[in-house]
Amino acid sequence: MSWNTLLPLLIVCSSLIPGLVIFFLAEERVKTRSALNMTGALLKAVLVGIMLWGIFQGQYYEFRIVLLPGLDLVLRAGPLSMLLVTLSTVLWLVTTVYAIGYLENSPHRSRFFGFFSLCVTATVGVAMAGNLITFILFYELLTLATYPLVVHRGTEVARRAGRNYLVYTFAGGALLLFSTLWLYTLSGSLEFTARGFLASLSPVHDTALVIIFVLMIAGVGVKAALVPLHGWLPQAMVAPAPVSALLHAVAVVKVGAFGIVRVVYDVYGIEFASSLGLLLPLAIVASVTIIYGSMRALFQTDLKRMLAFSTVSQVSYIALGTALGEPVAAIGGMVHLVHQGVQKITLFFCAGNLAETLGIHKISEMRGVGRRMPWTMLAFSVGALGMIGVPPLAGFVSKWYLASGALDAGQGWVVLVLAASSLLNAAYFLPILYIAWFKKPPATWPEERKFGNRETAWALLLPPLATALLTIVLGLLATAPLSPLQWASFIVELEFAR
Amino acid sequence: MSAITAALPLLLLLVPAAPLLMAQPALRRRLRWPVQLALLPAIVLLFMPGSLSIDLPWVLLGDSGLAFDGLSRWWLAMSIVAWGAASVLLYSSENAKHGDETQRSWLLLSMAAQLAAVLAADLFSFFAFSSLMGYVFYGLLAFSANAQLHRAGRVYLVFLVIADLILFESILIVGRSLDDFAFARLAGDSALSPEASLSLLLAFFGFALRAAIWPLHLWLPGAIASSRPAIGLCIWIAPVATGLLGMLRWMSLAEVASPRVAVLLLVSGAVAIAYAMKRGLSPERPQQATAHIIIAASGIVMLALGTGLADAGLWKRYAGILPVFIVGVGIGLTLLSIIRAWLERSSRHAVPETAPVICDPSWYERWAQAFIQKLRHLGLVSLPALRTSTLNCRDKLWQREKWWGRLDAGEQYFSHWAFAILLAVILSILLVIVGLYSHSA
Repeated sequence: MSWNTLLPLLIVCSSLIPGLVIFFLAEERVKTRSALNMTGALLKAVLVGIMLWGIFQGQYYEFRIVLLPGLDLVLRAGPLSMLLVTLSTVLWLVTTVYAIGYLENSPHRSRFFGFFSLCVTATVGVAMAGNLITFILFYELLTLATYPLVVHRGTEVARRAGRNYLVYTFAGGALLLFSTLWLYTLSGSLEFTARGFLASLSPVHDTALVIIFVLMIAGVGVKAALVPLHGWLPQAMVAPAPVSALLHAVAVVKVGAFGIVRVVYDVYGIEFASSLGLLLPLAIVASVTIIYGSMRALFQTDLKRMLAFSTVSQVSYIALGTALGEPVAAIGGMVHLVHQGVQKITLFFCAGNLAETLGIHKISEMRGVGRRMPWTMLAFSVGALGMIGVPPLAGFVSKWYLASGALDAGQGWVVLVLAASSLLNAAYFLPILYIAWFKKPPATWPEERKFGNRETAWALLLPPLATALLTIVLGLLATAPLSPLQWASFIVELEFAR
Repeated sequence: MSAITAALPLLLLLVPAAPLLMAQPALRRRLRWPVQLALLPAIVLLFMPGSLSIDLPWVLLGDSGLAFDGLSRWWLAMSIVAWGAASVLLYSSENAKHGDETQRSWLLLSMAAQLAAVLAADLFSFFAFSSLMGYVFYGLLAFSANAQLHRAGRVYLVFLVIADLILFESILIVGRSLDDFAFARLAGDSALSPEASLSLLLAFFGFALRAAIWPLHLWLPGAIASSRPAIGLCIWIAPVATGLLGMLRWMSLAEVASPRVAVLLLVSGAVAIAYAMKRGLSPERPQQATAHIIIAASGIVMLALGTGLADAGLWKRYAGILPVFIVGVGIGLTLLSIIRAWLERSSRHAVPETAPVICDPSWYERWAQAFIQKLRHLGLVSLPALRTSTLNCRDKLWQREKWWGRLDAGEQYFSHWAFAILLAVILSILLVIVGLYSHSA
């Protein structure tokens, strides 16, 4: 087995093995557990870095084993997969640091970090899946790995949210499996191929292909929180902040959006999907989700629920960019996969800091918190302004490409959708910033924990500052070599090549 | 010597970087006159002969840069005078208070973004830095304890958000036919028209919102009247003057723009001047005199831009006068602010920080009320009654709690998986039908 064959497997195992070991660690083994977590995260980062370097040198990485006759488990490193792998790896590293600080002295940490590592394993597996069967395998593993994280607190509310989450995601998984099997009977292949592999099929199958597409999008759309399948997401906010950050920025919703990109580009192909008349309905569903999510966020009083609905809205930008069927919009959608992840994780980290340090859960409780926790609120402000699309932050870059692509595709109405969404984003984020920075703080904070002269623990403060800085850098240096924008442009060049 | 010459363009980066660094309280506490120190690179640049430019190829969407040309030299001079005077008025030793440290940070951040916008060499850089400046400047307004200034600041923020969206659309429209967004290369691009007209109109509307140009000046009189003279000066130099600079920069598109935009600007400018003269000369509102001077000056700028759009030859010959006029207004306002501050300090016309200034109803409210009274006087009551019932209906619709309740009720259904999946199935069937129909079509 050569290095090029082994490396994809090693990247998956770099979080799997530490995760499995952590399950068996006693609760008191804090240092061992933290060391395993950090080692796994750093090792994954190094391996991903090696793989990226190899890809630039023209290396090809693929791991393949036979599951059943005619069905292989394939892990392949391509430009699109490396986008999600790199994002997951970087954000998992910061989330690990954050989670270690957040869950200090909490019960069931071994269980938590075990499933935490499995979750990232599944995410990376989905990203590197070379065919639909591998995709589904890791997709379902992600569901199983994230359920214990959602119900971690063990309360009745958490268990109910977990049950709901399971029902939604298993239903989506069932739709995906059914549609995949049906597709296999028609095409005989499930391998992801640039520009799709279905265009060569006979036109008599077109009706079936339309139905299969809708089922597949519904299947991945559950995790991507497309309306009306988004109901699990706000309920899952009962989970601890690192889980919310992971679910909303790194793992679950990104995997759902990534699935939509895979189906459109590497199963159907953009031209064939367009010829079947499938892209416009997808764009409409994405647009409705964008507006609905923003409207719901506007009326929330709980900070994490507001961020959850904001996620519902923002993740659909990726689907919208994909559905416009035009290179510039596709770049916007793909780069938003990275930018939204970085921005949203910043916001969730900050929400976790406020809850953990000052017991703040509601927006109304954030009065004057900018004076008490200025660095946390600075990071929150950067994330919020990035979500609104204020230049020169990362969110502006994705919105620019989406809007330009919409005009190029002759879908000017999409520009209005993006403008309305930006207005709504401003309407629910700017009042929070005003309350935090310019209102008088209360005399005392309920449940305040002291951290000496610091506003909060280092492990809670550094990750949001790092991701906020990344938000600024990704926007300001958007066109630098090796930036997500350049990477997305490269991917689109491959997918749209004639 | 050649090394110094090669390094000169780096001065362009130092100009916004210096106030950005000084905005850090830890650094600033060790220095005397930090705001003035932050202006040092700008002062050095001002006296550099010739023009300078630096390309920032990886910044924003590529091909960004900073440049120092004739226009930016005028604005830089005005900025140095205005920011310097504002900081002296705010932070002279007898006025300095502990709480002003935060305000100083907001001022320095606004200064950094404003100077970067002045030196921006392309559409994107200008848009990015002026947007940032707008949001940071709001912090300067909202920091005050004055409720009236807070209210004006909120209106300003709403206008800023809308202006940013409009300017975004403007750049989007014109950007489709441009390879290069640099201001120096915008002029005379014959491929622009007919999109240039729409882009220019949107841009002017966006800048009018930012720069409080009549009739979009709602927040300006209240903000200036209820703030200290130094803050009033900052209002001029940050949102207003930078907005006017944006209009001048965008005029590069004017050569291929429609004359109808010219008519709009001419009418707007003339009415703004008349409005400002009528309101500003009224003796009951001396505190708003500065605001009306600004509105009148903006009106004159609108007249000049409108004339330039209508007659490109005239613009080419006399365009250089406009920056001189604007800078002259800026210097005049600086002197006025100094005089006002001195008078306030003498306690003869002191405006307490927290004293509310009652602003008149806005002009459209007054016109609407006058119109309704006229109709009543003529015995036509049905229209006023219709207006009253429409307003009642609007108030009922605007009851947020009802909408919250309705949306919450809807969301309850989505959190039940059975309902969500059933709805998804129905939606899927519809999508399949639509997809099949589009395919067969």
